[in-house]
Amino acid sequence: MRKREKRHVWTTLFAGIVIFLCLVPFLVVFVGGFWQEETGVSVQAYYDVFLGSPRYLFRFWRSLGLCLCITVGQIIVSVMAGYGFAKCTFPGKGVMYFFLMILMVLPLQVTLVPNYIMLDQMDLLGTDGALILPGIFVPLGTFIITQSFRAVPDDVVDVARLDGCGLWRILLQVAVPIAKGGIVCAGLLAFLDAWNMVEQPIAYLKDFTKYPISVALAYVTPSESARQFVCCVLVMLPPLFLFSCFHREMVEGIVFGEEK
Amino acid sequence: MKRKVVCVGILVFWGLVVCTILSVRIEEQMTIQAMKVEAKEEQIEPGYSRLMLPADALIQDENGTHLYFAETGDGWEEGNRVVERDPYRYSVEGDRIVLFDSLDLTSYIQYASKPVKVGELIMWCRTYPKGEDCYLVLDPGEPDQSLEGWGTASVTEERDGALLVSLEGKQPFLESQARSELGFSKESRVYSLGDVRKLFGTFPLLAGMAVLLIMTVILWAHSLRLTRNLRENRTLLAVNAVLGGGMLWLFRCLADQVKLPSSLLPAENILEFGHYAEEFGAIFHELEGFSAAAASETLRALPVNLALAGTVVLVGIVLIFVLIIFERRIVSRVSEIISAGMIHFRQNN
Repeated sequence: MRKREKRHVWTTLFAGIVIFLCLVPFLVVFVGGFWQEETGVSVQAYYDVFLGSPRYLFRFWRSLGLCLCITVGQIIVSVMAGYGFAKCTFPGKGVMYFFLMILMVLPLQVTLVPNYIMLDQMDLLGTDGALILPGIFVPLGTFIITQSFRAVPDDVVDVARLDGCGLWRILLQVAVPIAKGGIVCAGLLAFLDAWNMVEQPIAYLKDFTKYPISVALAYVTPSESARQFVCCVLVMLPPLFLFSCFHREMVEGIVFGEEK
Repeated sequence: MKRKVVCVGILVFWGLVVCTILSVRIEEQMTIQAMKVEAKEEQIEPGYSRLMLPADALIQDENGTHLYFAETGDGWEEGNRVVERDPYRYSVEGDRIVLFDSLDLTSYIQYASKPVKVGELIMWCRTYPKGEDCYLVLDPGEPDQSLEGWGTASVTEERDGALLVSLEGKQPFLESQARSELGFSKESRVYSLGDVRKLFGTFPLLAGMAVLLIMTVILWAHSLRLTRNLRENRTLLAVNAVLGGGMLWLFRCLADQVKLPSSLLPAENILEFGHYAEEFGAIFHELEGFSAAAASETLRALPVNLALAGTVVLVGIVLIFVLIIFERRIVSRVSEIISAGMIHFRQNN
């Protein structure tokens, strides 16, 4: 018993140290925003970012709008594609799904240049469409939602079909409510991916005013470290909120696909 | 747990929207207004001329004297920004500045509404007559030109170390311009009493904005309590959401009306209350010794506007509590009227 207690204490201590090490960067960000080199403890940096000038908040709202467009677009496309892969039968389904999974594991840099060429031909370079369009057709969302739709019992779909429901009604009123966890999970991951994107704006956009806040943050003057920290706090807000709200659905969405 | 997270998220979202509205107005108000001057070519001898600026363009602060101009920034520092001219590119000769670069056609800052700092946003302006005004001058020194620089200027009242000068004021009021053109000493402080009264006049508007924020927070707290029983209180929550949106819109309308005189604002942070205490402390201390109408009018303006502001805050807080107490009754009564109206409409048709 004593040995077990001792092991428990050491395990707790070790876990505490690991958690502390994980939290230290966030603590530095929060505390750093209140520290100015000339004046010591000060809220000047928070004033500069939230009240002194609208440029940080305008950039924040712009990025939020961009990410919401990408997330909604990706959900719509992924729901339809996921249902097709999960419940429909068509020639080449297996091959297409295989290619989808390959695309999913490819690093982003592999598709950067082909995307650039296509966007250039579509005259979308330098516009918001250059970020939104590639962001909508990302394979991960389709993969997660396919797994969630596969967990929807075929009997339920057959009963709905027998009751006279068409394809869209089965999708929207039967399958989507059952696979809600997976869809929310895909949406959450899509938003986080869009919110943190760095390479795509640098590659596809030329104008600094169009950069989302994830990229523009790097251009804040290094000497103004307190302001940088406050901008980090601002950038953290949407992911923190979404995760706090939907962490249960996120876990359900990942687990659900494995349960059949 | 999710309910609380969503409610806190809504409050944070609302806070960010309010900060966005405020930051737009604060940046506008805090932008330095400045008059520019361009170098004039002066022929020294045939074939040789120099570019000259008036000595007014030299701005003095605790770090020395500086010559500033404006340049369009990029990245985060976009907009017209203050840049300091390298001291090795000019020299001061008497009451003029000589520029060494004969092709220097830059516009330099001559007068500014606030202390100038490198990197600050600046807006070029021209002053124009604004009507009768009175200036309080502290430590005026010996005016060189007998106040003829501004035509109708005349000393209304004089005390030891302070003057009250009546004149045709200029808008915007630039202290350095007034000091220079009226010939006061470089250490003097000049305050426009018109600007002081204008600042006091914004107190009821600012109080209105503050009370709208307080009302929204109280409404949010009430809505948080209502979310415990979501189904039953759906209508009330919808009404509260509409009310909150309406108050936000009203807040924005009020913010658009606020126009603070730049000469009285702090250099860096509009919420630097120490600056206001220092400035108005000095102004009121001097004004109390004057008997002129302008002085007493200014002294009266503060308590009157503070009282108005206090009334606005009190009315707002009482209003929101009354609304919360009678909300359910009002909403059910309105629903009954709407239902009766719809039944009547269907019967007639």
